[in-house]
Amino acid sequence: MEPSSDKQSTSSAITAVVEVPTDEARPPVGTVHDTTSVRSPRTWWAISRRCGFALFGLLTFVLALELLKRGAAGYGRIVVNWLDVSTPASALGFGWLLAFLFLSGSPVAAIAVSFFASGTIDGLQTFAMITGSRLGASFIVLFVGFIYHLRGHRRAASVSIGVLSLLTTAAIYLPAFGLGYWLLDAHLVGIVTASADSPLYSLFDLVIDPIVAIVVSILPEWSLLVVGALVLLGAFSLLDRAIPEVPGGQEIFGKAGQLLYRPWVMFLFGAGITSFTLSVSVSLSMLVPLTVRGIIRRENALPYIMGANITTFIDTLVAALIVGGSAAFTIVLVEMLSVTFFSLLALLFFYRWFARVILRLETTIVHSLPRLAGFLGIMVIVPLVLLFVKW
Amino acid sequence: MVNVMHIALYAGEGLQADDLLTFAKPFITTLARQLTLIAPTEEQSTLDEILTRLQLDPTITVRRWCQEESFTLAILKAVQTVHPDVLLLPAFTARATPLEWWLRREEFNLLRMLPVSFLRVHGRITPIRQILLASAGGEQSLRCIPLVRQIAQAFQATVTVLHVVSQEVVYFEGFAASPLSGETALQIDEATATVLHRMVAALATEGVSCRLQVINGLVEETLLTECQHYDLFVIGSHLADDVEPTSQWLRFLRRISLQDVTRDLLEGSPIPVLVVR
Repeated sequence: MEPSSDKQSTSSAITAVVEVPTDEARPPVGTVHDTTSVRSPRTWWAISRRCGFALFGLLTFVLALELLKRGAAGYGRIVVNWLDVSTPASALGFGWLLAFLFLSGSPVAAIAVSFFASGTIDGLQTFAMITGSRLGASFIVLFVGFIYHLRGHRRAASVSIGVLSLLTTAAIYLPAFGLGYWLLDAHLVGIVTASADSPLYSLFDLVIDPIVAIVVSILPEWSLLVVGALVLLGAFSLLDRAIPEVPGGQEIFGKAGQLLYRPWVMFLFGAGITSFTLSVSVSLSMLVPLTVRGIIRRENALPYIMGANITTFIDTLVAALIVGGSAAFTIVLVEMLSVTFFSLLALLFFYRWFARVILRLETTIVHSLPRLAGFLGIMVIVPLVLLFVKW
Repeated sequence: MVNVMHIALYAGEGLQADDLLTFAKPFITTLARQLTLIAPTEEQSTLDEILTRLQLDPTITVRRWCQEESFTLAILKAVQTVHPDVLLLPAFTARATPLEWWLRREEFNLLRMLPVSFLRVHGRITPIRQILLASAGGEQSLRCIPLVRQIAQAFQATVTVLHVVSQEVVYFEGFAASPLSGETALQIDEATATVLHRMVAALATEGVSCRLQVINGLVEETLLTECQHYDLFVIGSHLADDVEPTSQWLRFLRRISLQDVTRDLLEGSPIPVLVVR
């Protein structure tokens, strides 16, 4: 079948609800613009603004990690003991459920690393908790979509994409969990020495340490964990604002959105986009201006999610370096490499079979509301059960 | 129906050479005014045998083309020289035989380079009663219409124009809107809907019994499943030089990044496939 590339944009009901490109992208019809002179100040302002958000977001991120580390040392242990998170299985469930609470996986992965840094949980539990955070985050793609929709946002993933994301993540992460667990448990991976002692990090220390000292002196110790978590959410919100819009995406990529791409192309695309956005759900939302009227072919979405699922660990890797040192870094790296290994295995050797099974399963689930409800129910019950598994 | 086509037939050896003849005989008898038989020089002797088996009407002009040593060069040279309306050829390799990967590569390279429409006879051979015309909804699909109309009229076959929707809404549209139904997808994509309706209308006005079917599913998988119920599977394909970007780099980028759907369908189809250029 020919790739349909000669389609023209037409107005439709759906077009009207897709978030439109920024006003910079479209000069009024009939006017002649010297784009350099007219756009430059605004463009520079936009770039500076985003750089500001990025820098402030990064500072807030480090501040949050420090607060979490302090909080985890005392009250984190109490919470973990109270919930009896004493095994990798319960840590998996804990990370999964916590991702529900935070509506994102990244803060939970950062908390896991902070817990590890403070000695609250061991390496295998940290590894399990990070895996749980990713599984929970996939569910959140679905849930956040709904919440965003209620709040009037348009750029959130749909139910189908959410289910697809969840299934893809589970299919890759569960075997990756087994592999990583074995590697860590059998001490087959040595501690990878890495450091974030760059001039930037020293600058962070210079700025962050006094703030942490002030906060710790003002607030009671028990509140540090909560405050740290809230600051962490704020940090991710700031980092989200640093992500550039794709002006005129529909015009540029309008035709491209209709085509069927080779899986590895979408895989690299997903990995590339998420290495900037750091969030799978944000990356999925970013597809909206890149697709025709906000729709994407399922065949293209699956490898995109697979790629995104790998680079979403970059922020956790940074968090591990900042608060957890080499040991934490190794744990996150093992997680990332295990996921990469199974993703590449599926992509290179049995992609067609893999895609067929996942996409059929997705279709089966979303085609019936009772099945969808049942599936979502299972996704909530499983981590709850895991929390009480003593293995 | 007046025989109007210049048909080229590969008369050398192939995986389903006998099936090709079974399929080709009514096809040529009904549609051809001119026939070019193609074979590599080594298989020249088969041409007369093929002609005897075809028992053609004497009004059909027959031309023999025996040049080059391999089937790929023989076919390519012949079609570049005689410019047939359609080339009939057998499958040279089967998908299930991995040891023939080199030959398969050669075969599909040839099919990719062919500048004319071709019909690859492969799988189950039945009289043409039902034709499946797959369309992605692009304007290029309209190119298929004249050839499909001629075949459908000649065999009094019915045509189903099939469009597969594999798209999902990326943003949240509420539970009811997901997944996209075929109808909703066409409402969203008016350009595609217009092309599909134009295709049906163009065939219907020529007296061909035609219907439009829109299915939600994975493109390749759905097409391969659906075509099992038909006798001939028609797909469109770009001409190498009029749609692809002129820059060599862009062409390369396009080739490595886009899924080769035509090849996948040709390889997986259980029935003969007509690829319209």
